[in-house]
Amino acid sequence: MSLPTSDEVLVVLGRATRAVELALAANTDWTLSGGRGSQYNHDLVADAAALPILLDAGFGVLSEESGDHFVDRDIVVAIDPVDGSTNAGRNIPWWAISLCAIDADGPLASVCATQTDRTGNGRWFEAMRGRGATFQGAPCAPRDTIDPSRAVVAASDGTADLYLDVAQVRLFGSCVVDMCAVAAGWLDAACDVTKHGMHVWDYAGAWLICKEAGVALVEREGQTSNWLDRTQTRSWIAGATPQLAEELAKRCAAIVREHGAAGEWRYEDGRVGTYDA
Amino acid sequence: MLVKENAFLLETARRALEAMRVATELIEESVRREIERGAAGQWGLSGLKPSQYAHDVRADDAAIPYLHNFGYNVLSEESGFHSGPRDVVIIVDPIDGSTNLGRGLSWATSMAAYHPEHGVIAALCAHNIERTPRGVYFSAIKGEGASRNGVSLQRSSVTRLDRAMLAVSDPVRGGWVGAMQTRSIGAGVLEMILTTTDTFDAYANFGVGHNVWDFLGAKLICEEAGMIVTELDGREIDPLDPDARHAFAIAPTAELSAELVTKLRALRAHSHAPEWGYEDGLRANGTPHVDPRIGSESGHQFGRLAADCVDVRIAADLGRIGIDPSGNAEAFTPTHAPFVRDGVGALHLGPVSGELER
Repeated sequence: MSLPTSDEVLVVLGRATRAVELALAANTDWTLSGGRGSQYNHDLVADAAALPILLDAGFGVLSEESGDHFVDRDIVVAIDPVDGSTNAGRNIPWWAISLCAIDADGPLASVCATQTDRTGNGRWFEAMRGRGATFQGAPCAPRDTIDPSRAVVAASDGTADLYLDVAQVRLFGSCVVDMCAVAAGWLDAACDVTKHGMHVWDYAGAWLICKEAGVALVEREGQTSNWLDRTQTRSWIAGATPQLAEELAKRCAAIVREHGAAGEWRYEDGRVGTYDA
Repeated sequence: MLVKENAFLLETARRALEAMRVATELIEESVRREIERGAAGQWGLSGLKPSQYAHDVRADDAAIPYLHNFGYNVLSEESGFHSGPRDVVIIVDPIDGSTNLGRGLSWATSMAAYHPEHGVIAALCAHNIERTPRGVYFSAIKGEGASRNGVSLQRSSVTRLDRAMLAVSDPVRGGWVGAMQTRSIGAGVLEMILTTTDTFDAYANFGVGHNVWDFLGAKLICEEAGMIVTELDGREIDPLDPDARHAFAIAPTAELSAELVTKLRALRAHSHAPEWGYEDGLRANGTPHVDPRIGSESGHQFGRLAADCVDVRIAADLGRIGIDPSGNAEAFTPTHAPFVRDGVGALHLGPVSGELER
């Protein structure tokens, strides 16, 4: 049996994303689940909505919430059903649904649906490998900023000192939103300054959106990765231009070296936000 | 005296609130009109004065004539003071989060009604998540409470910083603040007023603070919602001083307020980094951005911007950020003299030769 085309894969990702939006629009419990540390009920609702669609399509799944499912299949979908779960729980308008289909050559297709409320009417980013990225159906248009002093930059939480020396910093609380915002031209760069980096479900979807949109992607410490290793973390700097991304990568690495151990964010149950996958 | 104990004053506050609502709607209409222009819409810098956007000017033009024609005095971030026959001064930031609006992100409108004898008596702030206005208004009358579109506000009951979602107007610097998590959305008004909801638990400013048009409306709304608002330097606020800047901590409980204020004062005492800036390279305090890592590009930028916007504050801030003005100094030409205020006419500035204090 031949593998599905990237168009066919994207259709499945879209169906799963829409199923998550509808499930969340009907959700009434936005509190911690009491299960795995930092897991919310809406994380579970979202995961349960997407999982059967992806598995029925013949894909494996690597989920932040429910673990690995048939990851030996030819195409595996890395899914963060709700990236920015704390935001969603607090009505902070920056969170996203992120799905990325990965084959032997890496990310193949992705859908990232950014959400500003709980109505299930997200703004969709889509990308296919080698075929560009779109926002709400139109080609993504990153900015052309080079000078950090004129850049508005999203940074992740979790360090002692976020002094990047750029024009302005945003702390939105969602890796997917941060990176997609660079692809859309809302921001000039997105910086992961967490000590431990992000897991594949956090960044894979937005990574492909950025790559296909022409956003420069630099790893903070130059790590390498197996895309389907759930234990591995990476730290991405997404910049509107290569010059901006490379300069910010240097600054982020310095921040983490100097301050990374001093500060960790926490979850609403009081646990420290060190990744524990 | 509480506003509600004086029928005339209460009526004055209510009339001002209604005027501010109409003015806010006029601003939102100006934004909608520009959205309808599609690709022809202008969301960049105005070119009229440093760091001012085209949408700032449009919003100001939409709202200020209405308030002024209604007889109010107006103090606007964009157009300064407009004298009118009434006692009340409406202090306006037509677009708070101008950079955000230019990029399609969250923004606010902030208005506060100031009475010379009774202080700020009414406030209205509009909360928008994306470029399109939503018609979501936080409002307050002094002594009468605060609401969001008429619904009472419910503040957090968090008592510990490590359990608090902390909104910050500027990234944390100088040390670990110790909050559960931090968010910064790029519009100070929103970061402050959303502490009156289940979104944020508390608010902190790590920089030199905001001008009166940035915080007066949000401050009254927070106070009327029961939040504890603390001026971090303990200074009196003159609502009509367009140059004064104030930094605040806002918390829902006495325990959290005490912990946050103590932490912030300690961090601020050890932080001398220059503050945030704008897309034209200016810092929020009016000084050019100076980055020794960028080298000659920064020097070029510095000189150009200095010609555009120099005022006496630059001299003060040069000392603060550690630039040596004697190295390779170049005098301002007479062309620049009109921009140099307060008799400081012999100001010499040159390329960066010092290191930023960290």
